Amino acid sequence: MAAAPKSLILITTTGSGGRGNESCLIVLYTLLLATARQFIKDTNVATPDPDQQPPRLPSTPSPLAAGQPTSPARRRFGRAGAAAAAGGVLATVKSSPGMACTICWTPSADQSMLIGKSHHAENNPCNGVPPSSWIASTSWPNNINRDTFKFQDAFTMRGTNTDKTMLALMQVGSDAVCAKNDYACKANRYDSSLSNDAWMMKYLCANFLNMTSKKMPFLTMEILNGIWTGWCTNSAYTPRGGAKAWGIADLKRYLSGTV
Amino acid sequence: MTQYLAMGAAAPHWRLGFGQQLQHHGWDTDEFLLFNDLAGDTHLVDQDALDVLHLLREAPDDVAGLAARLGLGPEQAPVLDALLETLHRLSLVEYGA
Repeated sequence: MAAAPKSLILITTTGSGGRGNESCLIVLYTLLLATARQFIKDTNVATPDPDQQPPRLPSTPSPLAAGQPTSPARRRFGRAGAAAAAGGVLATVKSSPGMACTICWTPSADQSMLIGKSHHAENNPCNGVPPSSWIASTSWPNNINRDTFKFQDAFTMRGTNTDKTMLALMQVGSDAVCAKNDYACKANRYDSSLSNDAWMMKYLCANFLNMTSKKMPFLTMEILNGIWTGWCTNSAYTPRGGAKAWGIADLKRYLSGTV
Repeated sequence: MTQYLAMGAAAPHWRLGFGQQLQHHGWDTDEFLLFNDLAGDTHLVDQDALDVLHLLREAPDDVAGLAARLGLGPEQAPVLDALLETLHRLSLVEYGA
């Protein structure tokens, strides 16, 4: 069983909660780089020597010795040292659960950060738009007819108001148009005049349309259906894998934070 | 949730954890700072862990499939297993249908 990653620092932050921003992440990186490297050095955690041939189990002949080509991943996996012992996670800086620096990675954050050897830096757009934008738009993705497309045409679990059109469900309540980093404004999207059910349906519609239009590629219909079904059956959504359940506050923060 | 899973459930696979964006920063080494969107923690991970996470974001898979995509030999399967367990404990990956 792999050793648990070492905890370095307990960081607590206070703030408006909800969605963070780029400067939060940059401050973290600056602090953590120096701290993490010093911690590993001080605790004498072995780091693999990239110039050293990867050791093999005694009973397994080395593919390198046999002259067979190997992939870069194959040369790395199985080497001795902290990486193997910790299962690839060398250290962890703990933070309070409510910090949640960012939910989406905005295009401006993607442009401003140096991404060293990462070959996936371009894959995190976050261009979701709020319900008001879809109400105003005359062109919905995938040729969806905005006048007739119902909530239950997309979401599997049926109940009260699922036979209403997405357009009608998004038109309820107020819908402040907020700047990307105006979190005080976005907090008002929680709109206390709406019931939780009405709010959930409104923002699930917006998230569905954002996902369908490829504005938020990290979202899938499986996730959105899971959220809706979890809400209907348990008033909560539990991500698979044993993470804690998301109540209404978590769901509102997430579904409004992605737009 | 039970009703949802019963509808056309597939065989259990590893997948990227819900909400994980894989925001990370690397330098001229095989180490990266990776932000955990669910827990709010930041991890120092190596290239192996990051490769596995990226592959799972592209498509869920079981251990054998992941090993094939990484070009690993059978002797490295236990290491991949240990890595997945570590990532699972940190809610970076999920396991299920």
